[in-house]
Amino acid sequence: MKRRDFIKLIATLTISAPIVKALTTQEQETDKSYAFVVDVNKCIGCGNCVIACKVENDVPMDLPIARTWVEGYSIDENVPLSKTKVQKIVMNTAKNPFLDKKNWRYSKNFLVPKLCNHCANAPCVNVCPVYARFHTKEGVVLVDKNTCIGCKYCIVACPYGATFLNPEEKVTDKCTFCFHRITKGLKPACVEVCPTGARSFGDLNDKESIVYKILKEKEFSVLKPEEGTLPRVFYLGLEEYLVE
Amino acid sequence: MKKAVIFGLAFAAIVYIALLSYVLIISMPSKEESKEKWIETEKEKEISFAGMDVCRECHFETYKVLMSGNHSTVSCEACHWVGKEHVIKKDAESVKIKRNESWDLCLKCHLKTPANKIKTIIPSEHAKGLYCVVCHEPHK
Amino acid sequence: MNGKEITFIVVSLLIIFIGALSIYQMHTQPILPIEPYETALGIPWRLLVAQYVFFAVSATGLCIVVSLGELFGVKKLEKIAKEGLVMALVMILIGLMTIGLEIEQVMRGSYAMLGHTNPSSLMFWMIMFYVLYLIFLSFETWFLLYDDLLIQANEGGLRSFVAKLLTLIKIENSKEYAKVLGMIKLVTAVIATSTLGALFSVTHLKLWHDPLLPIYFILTAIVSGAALIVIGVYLTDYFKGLNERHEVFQTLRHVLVVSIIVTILFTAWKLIIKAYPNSTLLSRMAVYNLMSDYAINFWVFEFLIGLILPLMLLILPKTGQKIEGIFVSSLLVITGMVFCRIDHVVVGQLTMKISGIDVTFVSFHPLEILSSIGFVALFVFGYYLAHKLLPLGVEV
Repeated sequence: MKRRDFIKLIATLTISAPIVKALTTQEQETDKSYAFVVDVNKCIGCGNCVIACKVENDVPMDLPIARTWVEGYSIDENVPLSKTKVQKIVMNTAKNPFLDKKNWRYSKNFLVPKLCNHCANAPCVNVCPVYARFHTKEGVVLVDKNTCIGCKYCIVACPYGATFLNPEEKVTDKCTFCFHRITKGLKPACVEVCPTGARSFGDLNDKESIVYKILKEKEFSVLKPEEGTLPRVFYLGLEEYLVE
Repeated sequence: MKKAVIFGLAFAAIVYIALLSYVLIISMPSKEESKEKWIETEKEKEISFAGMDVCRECHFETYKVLMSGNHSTVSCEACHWVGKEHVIKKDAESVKIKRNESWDLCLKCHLKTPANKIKTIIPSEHAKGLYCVVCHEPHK
Repeated sequence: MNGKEITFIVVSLLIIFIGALSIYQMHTQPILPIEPYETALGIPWRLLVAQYVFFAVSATGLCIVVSLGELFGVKKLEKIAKEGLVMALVMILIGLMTIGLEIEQVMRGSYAMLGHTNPSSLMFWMIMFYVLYLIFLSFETWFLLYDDLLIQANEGGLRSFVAKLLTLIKIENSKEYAKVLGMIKLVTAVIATSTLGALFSVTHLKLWHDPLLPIYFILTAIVSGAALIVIGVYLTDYFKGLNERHEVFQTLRHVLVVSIIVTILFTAWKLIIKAYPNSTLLSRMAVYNLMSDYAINFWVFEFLIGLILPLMLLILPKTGQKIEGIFVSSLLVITGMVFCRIDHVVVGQLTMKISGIDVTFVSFHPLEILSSIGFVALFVFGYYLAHKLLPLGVEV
């Protein structure tokens, strides 16, 4: 018996099993590490991504739940910031509220597409009592719908509101970066149908990929960095203090 | 009393250790197994949007026109929508865009809204009564 | 068995049946299709979770109050030990049943316990410790009741059958075993309840994210446990026509007064710290939600009816020295505690935005309320049944 195996054996008998396991097993060498880049300035609010995602992944079209959704912000900026007025519009069904001019109340307007951030330190993975959520070796967070018991703890734990209860399947559901597409070399459905290239997706380990180039050249930010979730979705041109 | 204390502690220790070790040792392999199984299930899910590379194989001429024009960032399925049926059956019905649909389809992006930064129009002021495709060639 | 008792049994069984039907309807929708109100349209953890928290925490509270007499030498409280333990047992069983039926995939509930667990999840540890607690509690109750069961075995009828069944294994000095197990159970109960509190505090939601929440849960456990045991003992004595346990109520009155005062302090500081201008914006928003949209829930039910009014009633000698006064204030405390749990669970989630949608106010579906009432009726019925079958009578 090797020394490492012995440590492992002891580890399984104690509560510290997950901690020791994390220390003894080495970081798996992967060929892929996916990332998603959203360019806020390029989004025009056509809503193609929301509808395409629902079609591709069989999410109920008419309910206000979506794996990816677009938030529109209409802002009346004032100094000091406490006088700033923010109006938020959300598109998460087939109906597009951005086309209606009445919804945009103030002068400064922009759109923020959102989706599951596939955090490296994912709160939903940490809290799931049955290990129905896990990271794949590419870094994608998946929901095992055959194991999920529907306790909804992950919905409560997610700081981004990116996970929801699928009322038809009675399990929690969220964006998977279209795992069935990306493993076959295709782009996620929302990236495929985005007409302006506001969304881009690729492999960070591939020096030729579009996301590698973008993240190398431009300044980017993430949503809610204070939560320490280390997201895989990066935003370009995001006004962090205004976006929820 | 001494007997009772020993019994109680032994009982507690047995229950605690049994349950803990059972739960932790059994769960480790079974969850790895179901994880692999689910990854396979997820991979097998049906694809709806075929992707531009598939379109290019047959419609190379249109592809070249599209790439050289203003709509070079727009993929085929952004307008023609789900290509799954078309790829299998090779029929025109499922991806065909009728002339009278063009008004709605173009305005999805080209309607003037406060947050829209691309070239936009106000429908009531721009070529009323005509279909977009009468003047504009969408692939260019 | 008289007419009143039959009416009670029929009514409670009817309520339980309606509750069971509503749970069934909520999960499978065979009768009428209902709106999926648990998705982005509302919040994920709703009335039944609040009820589970109430049950689970109260069960611990009962154990703590009972152990004061059983383990820590408060002689006057020894008289309520058996009733308190049985009540805790029924309560934790119904509580675990509530959470078991609340989850969406009821059939997969066992995954959380057997063979498919995630040790980094506090929900797993909570379930684990509550199951351990249930095991110790049932054994302790059995040991404690053993001597009385031996006497009951000679009575004849159903009671004797139950007693004979429970005394098949012969043991001696059962009270000593009960005492040792009681200590272990108390430790497990406190761990379990604090894990339940920690389960809430590890989330990003600002009303919950609080390292002292586990302690707060144990504290409120004592409040609701003491109040529940007062209600239980008063009602059984009332229906059995006994009036012997005045001193027990006086001791419980002191427990209640002390724990209510600490709870008031705790609640006040918790909210003041979260609402203080130097706290983060989200944290202040969370308290604002509680104070504005849920003002009636919080100020009237939780604070005034739940804490201040019973404290007044208990402190004033005119009402506090009477059994009825303590009973009424216990009822008020329990009302307040129920609203405290609902506020804690529901309002805590209001800063969440599922798929970008703001939730400003949560209204409960009638089926939810019906099933919740069903569980309460099940608890009352279970406690009644325990009184019928187990030797819980008072030695006069």
